[in-house]
Amino acid sequence: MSAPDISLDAIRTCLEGVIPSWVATCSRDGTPNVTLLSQVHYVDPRHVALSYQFFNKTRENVLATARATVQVVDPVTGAVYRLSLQYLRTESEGPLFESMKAKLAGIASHTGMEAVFRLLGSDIYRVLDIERAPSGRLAAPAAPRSLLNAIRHCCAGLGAGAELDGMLDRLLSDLQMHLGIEHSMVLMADETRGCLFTVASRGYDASGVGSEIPIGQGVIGVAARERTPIRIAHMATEYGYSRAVRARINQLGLSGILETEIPWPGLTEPHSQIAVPILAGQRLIGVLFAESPKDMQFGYDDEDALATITSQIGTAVLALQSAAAAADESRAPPPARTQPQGPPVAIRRYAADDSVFIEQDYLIKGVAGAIFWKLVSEYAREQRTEFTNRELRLDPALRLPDVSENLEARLVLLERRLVERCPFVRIEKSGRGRFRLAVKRPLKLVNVGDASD
Amino acid sequence: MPQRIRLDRDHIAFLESGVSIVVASCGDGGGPSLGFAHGCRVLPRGDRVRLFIAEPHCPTLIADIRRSGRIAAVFSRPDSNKTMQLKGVAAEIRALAAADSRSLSGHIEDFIANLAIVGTPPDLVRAVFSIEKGALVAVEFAPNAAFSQTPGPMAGDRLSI
Repeated sequence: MSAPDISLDAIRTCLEGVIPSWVATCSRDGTPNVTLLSQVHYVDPRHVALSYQFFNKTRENVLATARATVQVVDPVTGAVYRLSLQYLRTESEGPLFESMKAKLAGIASHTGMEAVFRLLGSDIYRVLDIERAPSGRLAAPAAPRSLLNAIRHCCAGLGAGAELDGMLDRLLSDLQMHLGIEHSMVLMADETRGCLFTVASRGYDASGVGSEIPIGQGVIGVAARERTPIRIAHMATEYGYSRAVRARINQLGLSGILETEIPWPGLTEPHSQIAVPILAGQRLIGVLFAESPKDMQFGYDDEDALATITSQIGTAVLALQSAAAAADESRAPPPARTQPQGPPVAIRRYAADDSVFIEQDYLIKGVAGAIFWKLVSEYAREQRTEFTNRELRLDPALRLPDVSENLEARLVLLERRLVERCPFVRIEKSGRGRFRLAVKRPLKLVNVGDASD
Repeated sequence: MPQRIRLDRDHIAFLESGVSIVVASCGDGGGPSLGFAHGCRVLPRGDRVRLFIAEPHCPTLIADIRRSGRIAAVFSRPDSNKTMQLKGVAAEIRALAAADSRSLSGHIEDFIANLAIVGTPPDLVRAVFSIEKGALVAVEFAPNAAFSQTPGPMAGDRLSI
């Protein structure tokens, strides 16, 4: 019955935790023990990791004999498999541990076991053999889509746009069309401030552009910190934004630093979530996040699909950045100034945190706030409307963190906040690496709290 | 002398209530084996348990039990998570008796009903437990230890039965 040709990759569906898995171990004297497992996690084609939650008989036996046999069931066909395993080591931090911890939080909350389930470690095993029981098997329904084809379309879309904002909008639209992902967003990393800020979203009532999440918090923050995909198949309050992340921001005293004025756009009751880091080499560019009000919407294959797409996003973002930085600035575009009309609008800037208010309404703060203030100040002083990305990059007053700063993402954020909150001032692209400030009403600038400006 | 335990009425009712049953033994080289049981019957005195296992589905498990007599069996209610493990050292493989067939027929249907509460489709359960005629053997043993394995702080505690 032993079928050594069964590959672990072919039975990953069994490891999604739909049908409980069981593990058998033996003590040194040959006394067997069997227990339910919370998680059998796919590591790579030759390894799985089991969740270590309690020091129990299983743990004692594994440490003594290094052997275990796990029984898993295919939740679609009902096929039963047994994996002979050899224990290698335990990890209690890092990407694998965090992936399993997040998954466990979802399982715990789904089964009402929040107080009981705590991941102490990820026990990594080599798969020695996979055996299939000859149980009757249901026919698997046709796959809803070809993931490879979806990946191909999404990646092709990334190369189509010349600007970051268009590229990200196209991406989220492609994810919906080709992967059926209805609720998604892209966040960019600001490692200096230890946070991620939303630059694009799709499928929410409010865009939430500008909202921020601390690196290390929630599904998105942990994916960014560990540079690994994090996904949850069930509602998990521990990883929810509304309670946990807000509480953490306050606890860390970050409410003055991080963006808390712009509400997080996410679903109120997400049941499935996945966050995949966008990397360029080892550098963290941001996070692609998707969620659903239904359970178990993102499996191993979806994770692989999104990870493939995000690796292309990383490259595409870097290419856009360097193209913008190397843009030809000598060729000034013709000015297209419109005469401001109507009553003046008060734009108030608070120097302490670069927060900007349009009349009484909050617009933005931080780096994007500082950029906006620079633009409107120069407009007020010199009637200047044409700007380049490069001059922003070089302006010490903006305190852009370093050369790796993703200025283009800040501009997208600012541009979108203006569209939502300040329709009479717009940022319009006027060429590669350059843009134009379009002002439709007279501006009255008020600087608060900094005499030097 | 290994301890002998006698299961009371409540325990017997639980074991025979359409629970999920997973059985393990130990191989020659110390490697564990496991498989599902398709039902269970506690003999009238409450000191012996018969488990029904499809040999073609888990030949290693049956071979290990036949060779070593060692057995561990976990009984778990999917809708309540109540879980109990029994162990024995001298399990034997026997042919099915008429009384076994009667308890078998009810088990899968009760099990399907229990699993339906947690959302598992009946067809899936039937697929997992579909077997060829004559595949089942009875594994009989006298439990010498019982443990609670209901998730929580008491998990793993020995039950004083």
